[in-house]
Amino acid sequence: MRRGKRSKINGQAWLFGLAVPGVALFMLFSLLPYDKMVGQWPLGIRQGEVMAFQELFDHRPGQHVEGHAEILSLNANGERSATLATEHAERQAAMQATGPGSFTLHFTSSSPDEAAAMAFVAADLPSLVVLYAQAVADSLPIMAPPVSLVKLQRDGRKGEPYLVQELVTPEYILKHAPVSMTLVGRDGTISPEDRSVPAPMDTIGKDNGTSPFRADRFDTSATAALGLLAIAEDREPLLRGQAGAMYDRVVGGITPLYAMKGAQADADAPQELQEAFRAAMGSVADQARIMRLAKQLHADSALWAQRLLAIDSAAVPVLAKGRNIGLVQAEVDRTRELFLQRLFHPEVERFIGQPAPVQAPRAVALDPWLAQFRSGKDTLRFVRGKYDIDHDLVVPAGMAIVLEKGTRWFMAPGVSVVVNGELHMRGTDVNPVFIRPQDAAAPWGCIAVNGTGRTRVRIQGLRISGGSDLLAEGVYHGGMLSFIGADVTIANSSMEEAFGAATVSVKRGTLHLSDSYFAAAHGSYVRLTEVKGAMERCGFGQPDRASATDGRAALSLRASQMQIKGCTVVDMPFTALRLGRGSKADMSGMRFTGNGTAIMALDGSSAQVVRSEFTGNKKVFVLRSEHPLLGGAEVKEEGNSYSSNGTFKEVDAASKLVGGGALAVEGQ
Amino acid sequence: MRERIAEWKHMLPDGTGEVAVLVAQLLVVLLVVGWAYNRGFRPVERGPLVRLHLLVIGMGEALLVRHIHDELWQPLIIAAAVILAGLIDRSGYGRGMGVPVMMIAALLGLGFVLSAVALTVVAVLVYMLSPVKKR
Repeated sequence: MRRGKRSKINGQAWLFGLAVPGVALFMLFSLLPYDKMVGQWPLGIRQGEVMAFQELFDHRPGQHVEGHAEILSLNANGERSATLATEHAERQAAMQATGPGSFTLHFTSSSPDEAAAMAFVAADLPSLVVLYAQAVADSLPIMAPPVSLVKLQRDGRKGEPYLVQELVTPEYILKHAPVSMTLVGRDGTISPEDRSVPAPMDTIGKDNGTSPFRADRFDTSATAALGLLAIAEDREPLLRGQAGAMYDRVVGGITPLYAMKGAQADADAPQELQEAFRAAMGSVADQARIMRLAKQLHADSALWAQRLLAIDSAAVPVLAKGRNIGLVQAEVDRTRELFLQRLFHPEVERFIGQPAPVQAPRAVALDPWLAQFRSGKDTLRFVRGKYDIDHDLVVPAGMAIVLEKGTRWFMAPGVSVVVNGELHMRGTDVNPVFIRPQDAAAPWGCIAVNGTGRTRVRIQGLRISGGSDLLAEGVYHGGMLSFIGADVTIANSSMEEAFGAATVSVKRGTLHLSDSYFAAAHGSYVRLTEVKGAMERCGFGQPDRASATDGRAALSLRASQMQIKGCTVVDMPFTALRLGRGSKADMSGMRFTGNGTAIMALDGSSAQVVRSEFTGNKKVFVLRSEHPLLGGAEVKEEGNSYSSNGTFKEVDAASKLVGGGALAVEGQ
Repeated sequence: MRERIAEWKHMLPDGTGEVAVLVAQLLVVLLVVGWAYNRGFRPVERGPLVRLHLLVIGMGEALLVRHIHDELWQPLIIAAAVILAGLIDRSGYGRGMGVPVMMIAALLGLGFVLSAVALTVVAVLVYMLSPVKKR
């Protein structure tokens, strides 16, 4: 039998074949109510595709929306560089594509008021979720750079809506985070704390290769906030640390960050960090915290609805790109409704997974040797007498140590005492508390207190020498006496020969230091980081080494505020007082004699010096900006006396010295 | 029973569900287009409703397109599949239905379901309205 054969398809078939579906689509998209159109479609048909069809086939009459936003223009100079122009300025930047429609600009110059790097993500109506999430993030305890909506004219073309956010870079952390925070690199690296004086004698805390990324070290508030944002935004990669994290070098903690979708390249965080994020998010406690946060927000649901409506009214006209107002309204309503639903009623288990208990760090058991000194449920008391501390002592959390007058500790080389509670030393002038090395040539470690913020440390009548510092569990205790998160009072004490970075190191706490004498340090005498307090009638002299290693100073303040009265700093071949990272100091009745530099103020620090004497210093005031992003320093001086000093001031363009000191020098 | 089903589900490799849905979608497309294609032929001349070779090539194309997002490779894969299907379909029956099926498979692979449905309707109508020369 002869077989039939399909010939070339004729015009009639083409005409009907194309016209019938065309008419059907035209009718469907021109007649379908918008609230149905923006709803869930069957067969897994996605919204993006539906909107593309809507643009082609929806020809119903209606108003079209067009809005205004700040206009930026971006002109490419070659493949990887561009110039970004705003109304006021032009900035050169290196450009890097991070995904379809998104890119980052890393600016070649930066200043305290300008971003170092910015992410641009092409925006559309679904981008409203990003703006909603940002508004929520602003109200939660998590660091999230602000997002703004702009119209970007690329290479002279018509302006298109883009979301812009400052990138979280080391520079951003420098400007906006506490001084001890450092950004965890995309490869999982953490820049280590400087251990300026090598002290290889630690007998504990070698870290044993354990990872710094542990679920129990995550900042609980920021972790819960990130979890809730991930659910509200329906953005799973956030749970794996896609937005990055900061490492707190004071306590070794991890603080998650938040960034808008598309701000970073889609590269995953390092495996180790991802697992830690997963474990932290998956804990029973964290999931309960997420629910609590959601409840708190739900309590203000009317306020949130208003706030999101305000975002809509500002952003929707820009994002609508001239589309039909009915469609836009329907899509916006649905987007807002779904977002609020996820925010107020987060399906934590479905999104994050079954909660699992986080393995809590093993509780420290009381050292058997210490048991004999137990004088109460939570107190270890050492009475007058000699004690050889020949092994490391880690005191359990909440347990206080009391050294009564006449107590004498003799520390073996490298040995440290870590107190996770209060510390009291009750020496007197006649019967001080002594802490000395067993071998004068081999330094011991440090006496460290890990506090919870207001843990009390009271030290009176202490004579201490021969210690160094300690790096334990990723936490650096940078002084012979080192206090973290503690309320410290030190009086009538004498501290000599410290081999570590500092004699006394205090981080994130308060310090009241009075009537004490410091000598023979190999590093600094007092190092303060994020500390408030006062110093009175203290003397600093006779450093052990003359070397002025980078950053060495008798008194070194970072992000701290101190009142310093009646202190004397003598014969330091380096800096007597160094103020860094936005520190503030009020000084009066001070004596700076024979120092390399009397006062060095850097990076947004400020100081006031009154009724003080400056004699025989090589330099009196050095004011400068080491990080241009942080700005310069400002010092006001009044009623001081200057004699036989070398250079009176070295002040860079960003810094300012206010007062009549110059006249005093001229008069010398 | 639900627990048992959940257990079985866990035994399947990740992405099995997606692949199964894709196979089902392609099967439906082949059935519908095949039916329309066969309409003009005498009953004895009609081929099978589902052309197995088109199912295999279309499935391969859809899977590759779904997993390779490279700007260069994606269109190359689609072009190669269309050319391959066009060559295989050159038989005594005249033009085969490989070309539209490959285009539909590409759309399904890319996740454009609505477009795939529209193209299927176009293909069905065109085949139903185009004549078959009887010899």
